[in-house]
Amino acid sequence: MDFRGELFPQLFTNGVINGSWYGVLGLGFALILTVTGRFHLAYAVTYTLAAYVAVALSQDVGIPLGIAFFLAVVVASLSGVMTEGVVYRPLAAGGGGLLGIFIASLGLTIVAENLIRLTWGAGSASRSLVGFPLRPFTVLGVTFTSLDMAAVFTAWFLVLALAFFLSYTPWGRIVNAVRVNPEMARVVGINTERVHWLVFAIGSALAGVFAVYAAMRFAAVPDMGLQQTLIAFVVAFMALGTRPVSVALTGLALGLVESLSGLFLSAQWAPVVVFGVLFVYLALRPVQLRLALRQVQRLVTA
Amino acid sequence: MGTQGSDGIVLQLERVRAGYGGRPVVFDVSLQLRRGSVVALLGHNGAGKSTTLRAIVGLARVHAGAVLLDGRDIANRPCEENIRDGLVYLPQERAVFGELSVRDNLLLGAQVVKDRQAREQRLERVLTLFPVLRERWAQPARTLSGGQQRMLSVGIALMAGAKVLLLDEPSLGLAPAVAQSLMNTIRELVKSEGLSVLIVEQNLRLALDLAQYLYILRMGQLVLEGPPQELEEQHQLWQLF
Amino acid sequence: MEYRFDIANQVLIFVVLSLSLNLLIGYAGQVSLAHAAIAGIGGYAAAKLAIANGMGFVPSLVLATLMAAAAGAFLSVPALRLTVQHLILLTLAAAVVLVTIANSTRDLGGAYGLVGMPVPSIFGKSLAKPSQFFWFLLCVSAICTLLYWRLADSPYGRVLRALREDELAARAVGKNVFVYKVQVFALASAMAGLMGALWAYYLRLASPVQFNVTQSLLLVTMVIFGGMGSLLGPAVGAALIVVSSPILEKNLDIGAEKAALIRLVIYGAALVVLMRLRPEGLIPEHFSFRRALARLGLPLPGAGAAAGQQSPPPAAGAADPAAPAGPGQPDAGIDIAARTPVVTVEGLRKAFGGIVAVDGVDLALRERVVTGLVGPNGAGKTTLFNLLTGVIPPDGGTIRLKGKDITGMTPDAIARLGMARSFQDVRLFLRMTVLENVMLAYSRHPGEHLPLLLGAPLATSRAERRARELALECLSFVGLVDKAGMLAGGLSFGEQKLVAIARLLATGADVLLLDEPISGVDPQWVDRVALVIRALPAQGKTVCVVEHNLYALGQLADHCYFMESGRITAEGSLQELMADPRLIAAYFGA
Repeated sequence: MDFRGELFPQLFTNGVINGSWYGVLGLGFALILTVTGRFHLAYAVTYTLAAYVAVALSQDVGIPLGIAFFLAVVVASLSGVMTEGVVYRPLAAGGGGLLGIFIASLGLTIVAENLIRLTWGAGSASRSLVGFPLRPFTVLGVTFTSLDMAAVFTAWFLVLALAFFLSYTPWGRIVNAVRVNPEMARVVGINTERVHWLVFAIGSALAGVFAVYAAMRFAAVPDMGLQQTLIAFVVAFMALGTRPVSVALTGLALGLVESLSGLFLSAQWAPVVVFGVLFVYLALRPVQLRLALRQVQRLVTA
Repeated sequence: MGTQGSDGIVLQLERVRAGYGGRPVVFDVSLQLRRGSVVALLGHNGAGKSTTLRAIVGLARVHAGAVLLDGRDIANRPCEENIRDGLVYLPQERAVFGELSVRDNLLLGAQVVKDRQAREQRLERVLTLFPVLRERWAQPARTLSGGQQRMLSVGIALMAGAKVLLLDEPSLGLAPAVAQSLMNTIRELVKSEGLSVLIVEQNLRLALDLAQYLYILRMGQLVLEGPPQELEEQHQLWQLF
Repeated sequence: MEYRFDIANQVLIFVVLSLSLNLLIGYAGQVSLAHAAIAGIGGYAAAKLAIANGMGFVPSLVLATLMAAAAGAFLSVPALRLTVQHLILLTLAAAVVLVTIANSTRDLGGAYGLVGMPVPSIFGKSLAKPSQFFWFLLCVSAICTLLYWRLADSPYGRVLRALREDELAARAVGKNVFVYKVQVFALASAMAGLMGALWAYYLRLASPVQFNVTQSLLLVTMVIFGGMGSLLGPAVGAALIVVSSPILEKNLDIGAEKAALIRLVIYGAALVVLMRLRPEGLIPEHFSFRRALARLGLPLPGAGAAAGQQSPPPAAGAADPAAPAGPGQPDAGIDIAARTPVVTVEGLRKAFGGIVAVDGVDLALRERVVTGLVGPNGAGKTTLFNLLTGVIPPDGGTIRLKGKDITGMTPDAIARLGMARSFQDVRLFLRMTVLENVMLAYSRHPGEHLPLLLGAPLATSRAERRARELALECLSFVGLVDKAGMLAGGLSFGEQKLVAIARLLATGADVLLLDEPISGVDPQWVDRVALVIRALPAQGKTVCVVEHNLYALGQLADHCYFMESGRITAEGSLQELMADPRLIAAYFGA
């Protein structure tokens, strides 16, 4: 029991780090899903692409890390916008429903993952992004790195910035309008297509930022996108609201649950916990559960 | 009211056939709306009333015929261009952004208005017309009562600078007294703001009282038209449907 | 030679896997991203039983199949009420959980999997070489394919496709959605489990890589590539994808690994292009040699939009001679009160939150009478229909059908007892033919029940003939026999409403509830629909109609109930009701 007590602070910290991360990814995915209605599995493409672009620019071309980071995020953003423009919109216009778009998205993901494997060699496609001044800290027996701190700080900065953008700027108002009532948005003269571009750009940029962090913290691997997208799915679907802070808190909760399960289970079981939670949630999904959770959420966000 | 004669016609439909995708729902509908007047479009559920309105503003497809706004054919023009010309459509029931505040709703109405001063003047005007919106300024629109929500959507239309207003069953789901007062408001707006209104109504009594001219649609086709008194004298009301 | 057998074996395994997945995705419309994981349950079960328990080849196959079937059935229960996107998510979660368990359990070999399975043998013959394994695998997969064929291309498959198209409509014609979903998940999973076990025996290995999410996605790709819902399309898709890898390898002179990657890139890209250009896959659902011929024989290749423009052929030959000659007036001479009530409703109540939608309704639908239900919008008419047909449970009151209390029964049970409904928005099964739409309504079809379908083929084909005759009869009643071979989605709205009536007739129900049969129908079809409805009582049917088009209702109904604010406040002929100024005011607003 003492053993667990000692582990707790470290696991909690890990949970906060991962959870903040999941929150931002979930937020990007949720923004795209709720405003455009696209089941955007190719979020994974954006993620993986950003990581590899950062690695290639920084390590192969020799561009300074900061600029490579920035350019990778721009590429991520563009890749999302291109997916919407080149694939989803023509499909939707041709009558492709949710499933058609999902399948096309699946196709894109398969293409991207394997193109990366082909480009960087199947076995050795794992590329680590170095250059960040990585320093370990130990506070009260809890260890974390400067990179972790930067990631958590960036995550919450982005969440709050997006919350501010959506609540207090004219463009944010327009995005909300399309999410809440697309028809009425058209009625007041909003160009909903342009809003879709914007949302894909923002959502994809969020994924891009954390893909580059992932490349620094672990490494860029060809299937990194799919893993993280699955987590983003879970966060977006379980989030009890569409406000950025609610989504981010859902991600945080998921990260904590996953990490704290380490008190009882070995680390390999973490995905079982995350997806087990989702499975139970989807399987039981009674209204009461949702309402109860909403009450809790209200207490938390109030 | 308003100028009479052919130049007083602000909106005109000529043998319009319209619908969704390739399937027409409305056949050969012709109608006229004079400046500063109220015209009602009546008919049973599924007769094609909403489709007619949506086709006018560009939310449904016009397959044939002409939609003339001030003499210019605007058929199949994008919605936002129509709004810039003051042609505003308010859909049935969900004509507000429920989760957004009253303030955001009104500001969204002025979406196409670039001039900041004009926007603020209009906002002032709308809040004077509907003082209740000022009281509910920061509340989400869905917390407003049905009647207040309808006022808010009219407010949104005024913010957009509506000259021609297309209303889709504004009385739906309202208590009779509330519906009545909504109609009075519309009547006053027509007088004070010089609006021209094309209204779709299920509630025949309200429509007869408000409109100067009626068109009756049955199964996508116009079957009767005339001023209310005339129609009331010549037909049993229920047969109009 | 062994090399070719090796490829052939892979093809066979993936063909059966993709066919079984097609049963789920293409037929029943249940998108599963856990199919490879389910196959993995079979694979791991066989491997574990063989290695740890020393179980023989065949018994371990049987047990593995059963375990996978059980897992599929288990998965189907939460899947029952989910939308497509939630189902995708649920199956994805299940797949990840299963693969992670395999990956992190030492007893299952962790990331390396279970190695060292014994060489399978049957009747004392070793199946060590690919060529030896091939013949056994060929037999098993042939049996699986035949079973699949029997399930898919049969009345059973027709019900599955109806579930895919519209669950509520399927329940409304008396199909027990719950049973079918559980069955189809279990069946597809059983086939997948068997193939997973065989694959493990073939490689003498059960490892996470064989059954991970990527493999599930690949299976989905095969199905979509070949053609979702097409009988053998997925087999073609699977074969092409499996074979292309060695072909690429040979022709491009590259390593196996690289070839596999290029193959995936090509198929991923093809998937995107396919969704754009040919979303129905290489071999579309309705492509069949037989039907292609039949279609040539039919003189109506035109699209639905064009059909709407044609002047409708007269329904005269169709409708019963006893029916009124034109869409004129209801029989004036009916003595309503003298007819026996078939449906009696007493004190029916339903509240949603604080709003009482139906507030103590009493009414009677009398034998061979067309009863109209009129009232302003929001009076509760559709809620009343939903209560009568069991779509929603009432808060109080009783509903009796032919004297039997049916309060609280499910829609499919009520439909089987003889009361069926149509929908305001028609809800035909759009990607099925008109004939299939109507045949589906034929009740007590042995071919729709698994044991009888497999065990009594003669009874099934006899019933199928009867169903076809009945469906054609019903279609000729509404005058649409010549459209029998067309897809329902290609019909005009008016024609769809008529098919809905034919489908309702084919259920054999004597009480038909029609929800706005006229609204939204093109003008030239209105008289036709009205004529058909007028002819129903002569067929022994008791009819209740909700309709806003008063002009049309005046021609249809013998008797009307007036409903406002959840109550019945008046009854009589429409003329009588509309002569009352108070009701006029209530209907059109005060």
